[in-house]
Amino acid sequence: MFMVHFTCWALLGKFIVMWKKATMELLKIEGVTKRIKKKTIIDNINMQINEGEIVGFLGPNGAGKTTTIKMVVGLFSITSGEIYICGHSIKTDYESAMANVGSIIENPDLYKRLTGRGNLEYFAAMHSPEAMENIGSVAQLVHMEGHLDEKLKTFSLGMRQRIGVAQALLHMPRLLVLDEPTNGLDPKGIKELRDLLKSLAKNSNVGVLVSSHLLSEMELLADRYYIIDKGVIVEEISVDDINSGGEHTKEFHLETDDNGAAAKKLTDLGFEAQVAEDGLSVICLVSRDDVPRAISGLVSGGVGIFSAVQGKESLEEKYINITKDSEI
Amino acid sequence: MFFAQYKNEIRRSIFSSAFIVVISIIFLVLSIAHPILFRWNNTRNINRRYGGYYYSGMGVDTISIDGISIGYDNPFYWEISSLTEEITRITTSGDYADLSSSAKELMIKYLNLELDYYREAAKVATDYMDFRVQIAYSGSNFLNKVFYYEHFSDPDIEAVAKQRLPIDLAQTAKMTEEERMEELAELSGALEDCRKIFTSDTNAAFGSYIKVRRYIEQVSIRDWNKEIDRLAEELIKNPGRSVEIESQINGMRTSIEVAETVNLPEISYREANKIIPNDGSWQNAALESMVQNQQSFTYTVPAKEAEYLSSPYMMENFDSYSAYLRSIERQRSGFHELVLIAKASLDAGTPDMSFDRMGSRAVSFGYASGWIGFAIIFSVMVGSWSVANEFQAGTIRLLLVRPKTRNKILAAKYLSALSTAIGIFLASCIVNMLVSGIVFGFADFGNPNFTVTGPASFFSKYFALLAANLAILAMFFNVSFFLSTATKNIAASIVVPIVGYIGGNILNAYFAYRTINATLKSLMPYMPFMYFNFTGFFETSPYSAIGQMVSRGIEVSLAKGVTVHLAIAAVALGLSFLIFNKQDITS
Repeated sequence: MFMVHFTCWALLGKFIVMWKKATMELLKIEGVTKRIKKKTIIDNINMQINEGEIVGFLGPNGAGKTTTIKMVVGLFSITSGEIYICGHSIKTDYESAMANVGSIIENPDLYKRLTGRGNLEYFAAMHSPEAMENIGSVAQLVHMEGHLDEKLKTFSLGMRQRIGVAQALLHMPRLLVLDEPTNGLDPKGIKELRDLLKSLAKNSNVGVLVSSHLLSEMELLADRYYIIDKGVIVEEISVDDINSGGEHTKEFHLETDDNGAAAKKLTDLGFEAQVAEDGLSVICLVSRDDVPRAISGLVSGGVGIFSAVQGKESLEEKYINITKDSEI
Repeated sequence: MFFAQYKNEIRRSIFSSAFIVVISIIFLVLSIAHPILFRWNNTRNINRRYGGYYYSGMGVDTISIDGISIGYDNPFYWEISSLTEEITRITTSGDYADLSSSAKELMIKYLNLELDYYREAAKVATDYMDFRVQIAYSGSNFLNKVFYYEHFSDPDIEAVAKQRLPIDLAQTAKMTEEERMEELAELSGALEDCRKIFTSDTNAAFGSYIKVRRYIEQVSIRDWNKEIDRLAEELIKNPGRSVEIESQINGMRTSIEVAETVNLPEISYREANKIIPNDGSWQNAALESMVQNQQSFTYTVPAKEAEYLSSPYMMENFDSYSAYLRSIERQRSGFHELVLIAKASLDAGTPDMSFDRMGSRAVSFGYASGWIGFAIIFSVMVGSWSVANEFQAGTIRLLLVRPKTRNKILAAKYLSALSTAIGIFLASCIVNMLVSGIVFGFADFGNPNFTVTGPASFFSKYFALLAANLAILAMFFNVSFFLSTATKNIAASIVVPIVGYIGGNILNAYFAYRTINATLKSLMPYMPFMYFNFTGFFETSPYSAIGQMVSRGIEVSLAKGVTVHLAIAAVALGLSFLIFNKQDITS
């Protein structure tokens, strides 16, 4: 379990005070296109992240995740479209926009000649004076307070990742943008990072954009996903979509005493239904709200029902479905 | 706000870089060591500036004369050893076989006389810089003539003279007995004066030096006059050879002019002010500079147009006869300027920097001009490292996501690195100045430098040099900074400017003395490689590489050099910002 010290609570408290002031959307990507040498890398994408939201950013290699993220943090220019961070356009109000973002892009390569503290001081000096004061508490947050005065070149990859996270939090950003942040972290470190991000989102209303190719990890972290493929956002999925379904049609698996008759009856009722390949059940596409109507139809038609189970499509299945045409 | 980022860069980028700190320390150590080594090296080498060196390790035996050991670094060592060998070979190896035995005896007598003479000289004038050496060599000319006249009646003298003595036998044959006796008396007197110089009493030796040198000049003038008379007669007989003979006569007249207006006054000046040649004093250096440049001034006369047109060399080097005339006039005024400077310095009784190599001014000026190459390499390294390092280490991604525009980040990087590169050089110059003052005395800094328009403070010249050097450093720094931004590769942005620096120096040396066409001639003054070292522009000598170029119509100048460097620096800096601002950080 991620241990949160008293001082960290104080820091988180600062975050909370800050976030109470504003409620706007933290990140807004509006019709953004990126072309490099006439090749369109990102094509007219729209994204949005609100306070307290952890948004996963998924896509095959080369789909445009890192390009999008680099545009958000100012490492790439924007060919057309607009990106706003806390309402500040990064094209016209760059410094105000960037003051609200903390980020780790790819590996957090830090200055090997400096100590952990030296690195944090170097970056903090480019933010507000408060950022300099936060070094100690941020270091505690990532469990590096005991190693701050060691040279970075003596650090393990995991320790560098922690300093990398620390530098992103120094100035108490309202938006965190993390590109593959778990690279090089051991399972314990991954869990700690996950807990930290969740706690920041929940307690301090920080918005987080995380790109990753580790879907299982994302399932445990994100509230919402954008799936990008060939430079286009192909799907926006919320966790509810995956777990419940609501008005969307879902696959239901019905075990009956006569699967053939059940399939026919369901089709007559206007549902899309067929006997499963193994012949053991009937698969029916039906929205959650229509399930009672379908079952009562079968019962009145004399079909005996043993069980009715919602077929759950995992994030992974969805992801693979959506991106199946992509060359990886 | 910007200053905060500058401080941040200085503190956490520059000072944390072991590489920059180490090179800075080397630079400071160098500036301290320079005056100390200069002094130490000078005392060590002062006696070995000529000769000596070349023969070390050859295993030659030393010679003992009256208990004094003469080594190969003695200026007369080779005369003594070769004469000894010559004498031995006459009796053992049958040299001079065509001489009769009595002639051989006379030869041996002469060689022994010369040997004794040099042995006397070797005991007193023990190093090449001793002013006695020059007179001792002149004396050997008197010695053989005196021997010839003394043995004029000896039937073997002619055979010996033909083999060994530089005597114009045809001319002496025409002389009367009386003339010969007169000549003998005069030469014997001169030889006596030369011998008097072989004393460790410097004052007495200096008196003889003055006497002999004056005698030599006077004899030369007399001989040239005689020769001019003879040539004048010949001209009447052979009017067809008038061009050749007239040119000979003119040459001799110039020599007489030099002897009368330069050399004899120099001798008198030495006598009056007791300036001993090669004594290491600034007065001697000033006087030598004055004499040398006066001579150059007198000898540098333009050729006639016909002569110009008949010389392919001159035609190639100058576009027209008038350009040639202008160039000669420039050289002459250059020489004249140096004469005026030496004269002003001697008159004022304080040395110009150029005459006092072992003075604080010359040593600190020498440091600031001589170590510019090192400063260039240092600034190239700092400039290259500055931005490319961020890309190579990948830290650029964390650097550019801050709430600072790229312009601000780059400006802080640029200024912090530039002020380091330049600051270290300036700091080392100041340290060097202080150490020079300690080693050679601070008083020298108060002495003026002499110019045609009057004495000027040393510092005006020194700071002008520093300012010009800063333009070189800024150029090299900005170019490597630009490469660092464009290539994102430290090695490439170090190698390219340093290869350029070395290549430029080679090109400079190549063009300095080479005949080039008019187009190149007009382009050359705008080539940066002509200005990788500004020292030459602070020396007025027409003999310097710069002087040579200017006199050949390559109009290089300090102002042009500084302008060219600053222009390149500005373009490189502009491009750096342009590239840095636009580029996507793909690494």
